[in-house]
Amino acid sequence: MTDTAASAPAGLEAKFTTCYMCSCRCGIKVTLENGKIRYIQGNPDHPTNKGVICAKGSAGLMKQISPARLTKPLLRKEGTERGAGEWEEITWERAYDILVKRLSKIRSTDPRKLAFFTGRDQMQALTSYFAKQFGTPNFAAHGGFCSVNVATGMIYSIGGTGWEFGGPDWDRTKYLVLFGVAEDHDSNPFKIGIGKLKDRGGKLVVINPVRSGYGAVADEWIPIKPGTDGALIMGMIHVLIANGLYDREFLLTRTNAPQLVVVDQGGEEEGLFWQADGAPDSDLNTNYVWDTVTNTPRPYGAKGVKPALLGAFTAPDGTKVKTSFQLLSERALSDYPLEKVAHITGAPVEKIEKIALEMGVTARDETITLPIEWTDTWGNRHDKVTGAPVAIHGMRGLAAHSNGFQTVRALSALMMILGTIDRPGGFRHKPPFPRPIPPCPKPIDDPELIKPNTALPNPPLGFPTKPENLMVNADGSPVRIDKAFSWEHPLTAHGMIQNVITNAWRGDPYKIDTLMFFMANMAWNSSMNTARVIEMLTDKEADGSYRIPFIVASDAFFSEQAAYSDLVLPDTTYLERYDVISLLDRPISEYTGLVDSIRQPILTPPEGCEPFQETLIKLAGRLGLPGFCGGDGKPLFRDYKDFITNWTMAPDTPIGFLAGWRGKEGRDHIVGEPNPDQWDMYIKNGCFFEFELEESLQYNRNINQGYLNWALDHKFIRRNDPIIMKIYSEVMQRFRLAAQGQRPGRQPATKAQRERLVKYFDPLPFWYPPLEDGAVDRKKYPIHAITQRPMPMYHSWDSQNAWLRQIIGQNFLYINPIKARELELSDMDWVWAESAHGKIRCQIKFSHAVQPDTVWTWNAIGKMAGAWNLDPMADEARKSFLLNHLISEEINDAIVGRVSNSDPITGQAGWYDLRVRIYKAEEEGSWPQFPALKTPPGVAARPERLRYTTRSERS
Amino acid sequence: MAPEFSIIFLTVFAGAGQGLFLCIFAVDLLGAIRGAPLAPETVALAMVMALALMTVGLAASVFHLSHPLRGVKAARRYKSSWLSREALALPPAMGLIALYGAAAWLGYSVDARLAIGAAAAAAALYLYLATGMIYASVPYIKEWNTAYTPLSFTLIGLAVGGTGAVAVLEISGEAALTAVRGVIPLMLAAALVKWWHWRRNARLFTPFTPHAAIGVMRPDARLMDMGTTYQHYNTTEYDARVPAAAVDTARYVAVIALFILPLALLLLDYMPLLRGEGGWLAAPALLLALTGAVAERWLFFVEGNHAQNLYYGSYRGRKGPNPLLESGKAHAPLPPR
Amino acid sequence: MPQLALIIDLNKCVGCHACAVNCKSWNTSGKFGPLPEKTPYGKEPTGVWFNRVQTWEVGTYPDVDVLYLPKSCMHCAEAPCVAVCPTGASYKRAEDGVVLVNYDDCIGCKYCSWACPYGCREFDEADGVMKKCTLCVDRIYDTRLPEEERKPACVLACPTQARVFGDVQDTDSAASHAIAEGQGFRLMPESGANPSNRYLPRRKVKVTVDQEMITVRRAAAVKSVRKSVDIEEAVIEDFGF
Ligand SMILES: Nc1nc2c(c(=O)[nH]1)N[C@H]1C(S)=C(S)[C@@H](COP(=O)(O)OP(=O)(O)OC[C@H]3O[C@@H](n4cnc5c(=O)[nH]c(N)nc54)[C@H](O)[C@@H]3O)O[C@H]1N2
Ligand SMILES: Nc1nc2c(c(=O)[nH]1)N[C@H]1C(S)=C(S)[C@@H](COP(=O)(O)OP(=O)(O)OC[C@H]3O[C@@H](n4cnc5c(=O)[nH]c(N)nc54)[C@H](O)[C@@H]3O)O[C@H]1N2
Ligand code: SF4
Ligand code: SF4
Ligand code: SF4
Ligand code: SF4
Ligand code: SF4
Ligand SMILES: [Mo]
Repeated sequence: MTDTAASAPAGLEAKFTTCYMCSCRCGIKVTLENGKIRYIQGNPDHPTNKGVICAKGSAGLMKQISPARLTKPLLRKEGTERGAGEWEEITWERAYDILVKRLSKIRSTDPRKLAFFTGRDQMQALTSYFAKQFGTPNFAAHGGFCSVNVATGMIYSIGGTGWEFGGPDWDRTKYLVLFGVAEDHDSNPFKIGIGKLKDRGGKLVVINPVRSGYGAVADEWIPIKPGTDGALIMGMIHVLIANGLYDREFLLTRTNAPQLVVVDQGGEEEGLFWQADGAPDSDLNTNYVWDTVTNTPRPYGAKGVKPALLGAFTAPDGTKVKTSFQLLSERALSDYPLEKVAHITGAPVEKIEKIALEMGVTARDETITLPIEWTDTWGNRHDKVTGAPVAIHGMRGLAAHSNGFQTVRALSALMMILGTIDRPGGFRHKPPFPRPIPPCPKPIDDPELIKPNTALPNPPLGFPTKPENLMVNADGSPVRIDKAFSWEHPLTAHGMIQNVITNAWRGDPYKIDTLMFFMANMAWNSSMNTARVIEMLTDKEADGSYRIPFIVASDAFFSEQAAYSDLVLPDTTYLERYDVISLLDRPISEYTGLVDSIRQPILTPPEGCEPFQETLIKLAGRLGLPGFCGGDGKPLFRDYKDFITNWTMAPDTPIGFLAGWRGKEGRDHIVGEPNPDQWDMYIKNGCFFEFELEESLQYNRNINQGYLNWALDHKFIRRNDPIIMKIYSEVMQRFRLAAQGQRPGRQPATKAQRERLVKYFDPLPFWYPPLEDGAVDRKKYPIHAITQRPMPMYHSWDSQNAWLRQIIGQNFLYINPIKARELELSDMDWVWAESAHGKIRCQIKFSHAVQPDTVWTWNAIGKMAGAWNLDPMADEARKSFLLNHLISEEINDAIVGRVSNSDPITGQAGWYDLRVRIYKAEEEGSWPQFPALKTPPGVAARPERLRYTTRSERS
Repeated sequence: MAPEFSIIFLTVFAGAGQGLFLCIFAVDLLGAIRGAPLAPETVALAMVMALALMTVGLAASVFHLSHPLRGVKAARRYKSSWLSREALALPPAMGLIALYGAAAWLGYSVDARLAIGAAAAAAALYLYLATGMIYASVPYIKEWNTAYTPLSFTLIGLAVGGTGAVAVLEISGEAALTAVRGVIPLMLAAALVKWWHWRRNARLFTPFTPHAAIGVMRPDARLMDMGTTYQHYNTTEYDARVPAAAVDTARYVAVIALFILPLALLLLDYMPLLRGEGGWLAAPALLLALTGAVAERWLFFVEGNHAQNLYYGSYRGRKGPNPLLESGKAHAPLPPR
Repeated sequence: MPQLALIIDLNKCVGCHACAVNCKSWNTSGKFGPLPEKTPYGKEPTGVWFNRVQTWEVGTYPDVDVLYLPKSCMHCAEAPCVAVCPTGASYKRAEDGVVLVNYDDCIGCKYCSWACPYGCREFDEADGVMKKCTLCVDRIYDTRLPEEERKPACVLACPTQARVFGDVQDTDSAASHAIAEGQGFRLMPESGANPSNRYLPRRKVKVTVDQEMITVRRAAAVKSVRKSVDIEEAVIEDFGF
């Protein structure tokens, strides 16, 4: 690898590091002049962004000079109200004292009373390790309100998912279909890829109620009604199957399409894969196919077998069985006639058929062949790698609905049918994926394991495959504060941050003591039902104490969350600290291999700021947490840098946070002893490490023996069995059987829970209307309301950025004039948007680029007056708005009553299920309004003018 | 275009000053031909007046420049820039006018005085042309890009300045009748030209279209977002954003104060002047005319519709507040039913 | 005479504003900076930008196109802004056609901006001088920068690589090829300014499906699925590829 020390013109200094203006984590080159940032550009050698940079990344220098920067630990003054803005500036020492006192008490009594949730951070490896060592199960990152449906929907189907874990083969795809994507995590790679697709003359199809961004350059736009993609995809599957446009070979060799499902008897085995000799159901089973040579069931993958893809058979033991694909075909053909699909989705029959046929024909006829030899897990040698240049990608347009998991299951099935997974031209995994379906870690299934002064045996999150994996008490009640992994939301792989405040406030399932947030703006744009959440944050018991006793926030800026906390820990910015982008977390790998990276401080942080990583390490040390301290209770690590260098998974597993330059000399990769010079070696290499896999290990990884062996050797997986993709999910069926009372072992306690599970845990993908549709009067609230990410803004972070806020200072509610005319509204009218839960006032703007039953706006532009140290009269506070006020975090479900407004399978927040009605408002300005927040101590004054330059002024 | 008062005052006052000089010079010249040149004191007083008016204009113009001290550099690009030519023509014009006045005051011979005056007249006329052409030569403001612009600048300058000349003559008790006889037709001509100019602009066919601006073939292109949310130089400088009522008012003021009232006043003075009695209404007429001319020039700016407004959502000579710019964002029309 | 310019491919531009912001990042401390802001954290913040990315809509639902239009100085061949500048502060360089402003000569009369048909000049109130896109002349010739980085900031940044930079007079340059292949056009050609920047239009890709083949296969495939539902233990010939 070449030494890529940054070059800069004389007199200037340039350094590489990793951007964190968003979660994409591109490599950047920062040029400094006179101690200030002269310029930020993309690092041309960096695998993620190859030299390009986005608007946010470019504006990184404005972040450093933002007057919203917090520079002092702040403690709410004794006797003042939370949110009133009366702060005492304290020292870090005092902050530690307070925290250590409180947390050690919690830890020695009931560790669950610490709830530690993190937002749009990317350091869950460290934060979850902290929680695990602390012993609280109440930890999760932002996934629950983000895109866990996409993550689990795909992980439970194909063994990998999108973003940093996989994505379209940008170098080869010719037909790209995007479902519900505005910007995505992979900001720059996505755009680089779209550029490449266009250069290649490839076709882009965008399925989205809104045409914008990527949709703008789409060759075809399908304005779909929100929440109906599941039906659309099933319709496409219908077309493909009906036209024989499915990849037989692929389905037979990599998916469970030919595997035999028990279909006739009811009872314990019903709907599970048929096993010979009554062998028990297990995640490790190979399962059987119908061999057309011998006309008998034979093990999947057995030599000489010619499996039937379609068909219904009677097994030798008399059991009636059908192939998974037969079941899917029946479902698609009988339940999803195109006229019905068109009615549900609003997409015309011809269009659905056209796109499906185009995908199918392109996949079938434009085979890509690469002269790469590889061996599959059954020992067959292949002299080439083939693929189909059709790639499909779905994001929050699918995820953020309460039917999203099954929709993403359908999407996965569509990809399997087209045979476009981990082959050239289609979807490609990024190591460490694929992983077993689902990956091995399981949540803590025994509440007894949560004990005072004890670390948890494994991390608080995982991937259940059966009811026994749930995190429930003997009576079936949830163990976790967010009710993740409970009967209400069994597959909550990312937790349910969206319910933490409400549950903690209500004391359901129990009361907590300390609520700690890192990098999450839960008091505002990241919560549903924002106004009510603020009330809960400030609500008191009869005795005058707060219902949520103590709230800690780590933030770099004066966010709404900082304002509504008791203790605020001022963090550094990404240019001021050491950081790792670790394989143990969400790495930045490429299709061709592993990548991880670091950040190095480019600037000195303001006096009172401390990197939160540092804070966690120190805190862990002072609390004497195992893993951070030796047997003598003394801290093992000097600081965060030291922790990263020296920490390993286990004494005999020399794997650490960083994969590059391990071993004393720095010659090992991925697995190896700690290397004291590891940081320097990263810095020397432009702050990233890339490990390219041999070509023969780059494709077909679900069944590529070479790859699986390699992955096992490097501990990415615990077994090197083939990762057979699941058109049919027995995991779903296990929960359904339990709910039907057919399965021994854990069963749901209530009838409602049983009914809910039976309804939603379908082993085949299917479409059902989002929960909100059933919970509110659709006639009264006929319009769908959704948000989109603006490309030049990151959630709430960037309104303090002097450049970015000029680009979007006010958000509008975009409405199709066809609908507006029906409602007798004019362009730029102020309107009330009202849902079953609340109402807001906002300004509409006509746009033809939106499906007429849908309105949309940019996400998180609206601010609470005074927050982010903006002028309280700024448009962000007075004209902009949040849709969040309209979305309830709980709904009244027809089956279970009050329940989280989330996907019943994964607990993914159903943001985009929202329905509203819209009517003219007499007054102008956004509503609700909150009293302006007081500017806290330690932040700089807002300058009237800004004239940023690093040059010494011209004479 | 946003009305810039510095430029409005510059063109109105400098134009009036030039006009005052030119009318006095004409009366002086005609008088000399008839053997009755103006009294040197009258000429001198008139030139003080003319120069005063021009100085007011010049002073106003300084406010338009951020770097007036570098103003001398403005003469560099005379080969292609009318602004440069104006900058170049202004000092000699003022100098010659001053010389003409000085020649009278110092008792130079009438011939010498008139010779200087002739040179000054040439400079003043060129200055009219240069000033007018600054605006008329901008191809992207079609309302300005016409011969009417220099013509009406010149005629209005002459009419307003002429009214001033009459006032000076009335004060000095000299040859005002000749001047009135000249100024009334000038006033009528200025009104007529202005009326034609307005009429032309009202019927103007604009070649600049939104779809050409962005290069699409379909005619229904509309701006949704101008790139940044708020006003900036390219919106504040180019979009007047004045209420329709203000435009109407300005037009009434212009017509009444610039043309109708001064004409009426001059006509009222005509009879007494004819009878050899002194008139005194020209001075108030001048004040009215100056006011009217400011209104007319304000209107001239406000009605200027720059092609670049296409890119900021405010093209189309829209009157009154621009909802798009008020809210910071563009406007989408209703689709056809 | 060489003429450097930007070619912007509207078929690739997703309106991300990277070019606009990276332009600020480079130029505010550059030779032609700063690019100041007014009320940066107050009401209606505004500032000087050399590049702005606009959003347009064309057509009516559902046949509607959304178009992003990044717009910076076009470095016009017949730059009207240069001709009218009384001081000569605005000039067009003979060697590369770049139109620049010499801030030391500018008197702030704003006449050049009136003469610009594209609204690409930005007045800096703080300094009282006219500013505009410089084509990053303080990057593109800087031999201290690595060769590949001697490009305008906006071009370096653009994530979709929708921006090409080069000499449009040199028929062999990447820029000229892009114009020729992508049917590059000028904005508002009737301005007569002869802008040097070009835009490449949207080009919609069509995929054709052999309908006949589809019809034949469909009949067979549907039969196959149906058949398998009805007939037990039948060995079914399926029709996948
Ligand atoms: N610039 C920028 N980049 C970001 C972020 C940011 O804030 N700013 N946030 C990051 C984060 S945390 C995330 S989770 C990702 C999210 O990345 P995206 O998934 O792109 O996020 P959204 O903006 O929610 O986009 C959802 C899209 O789905 C559409 N949509 C809504 N409902 C439906 C539906 O029912 N069907 C279909 N087909 N489409 C629908 C919306 O119109 C929108 O275009 O982006 C990441 N990247
Ligand atoms: N209506 C609606 N709401 C949504 C969404 C939507 O699409 N529509 N999207 C949802 C999704 S997908 C997500 S992921 C969430 C995002 O939700 P959050 O993760 O809460 O994202 P932010 O609002 O950016 O809040 C992050 C906080 O981190 C702070 N911060 C920034 N940099 C640093 C740092 O270096 N250190 C520390 N300690 N703090 C820092 C910021 O100041 C801010 O207060 O929003 C959700 N909310
Ligand atoms: S995409 Fe995200 S990480 Fe990459 S440059 Fe932009 S802000 Fe930075
Ligand atoms: S503003 Fe400056 S650059 Fe523009 S015309 Fe006037 S002097 Fe020339
Ligand atoms: S775009 Fe405007 S500023 Fe640029 S050269 Fe052309 S006329 Fe001059
Ligand atoms: S060429 Fe340079 S100055 Fe011009 S828009 Fe691009 S980055 Fe800005
Ligand atoms: S950076 Fe590229 S894609 Fe983004 S707005 Fe500019 S030209 Fe368009
Ligand atoms: Mo997210």
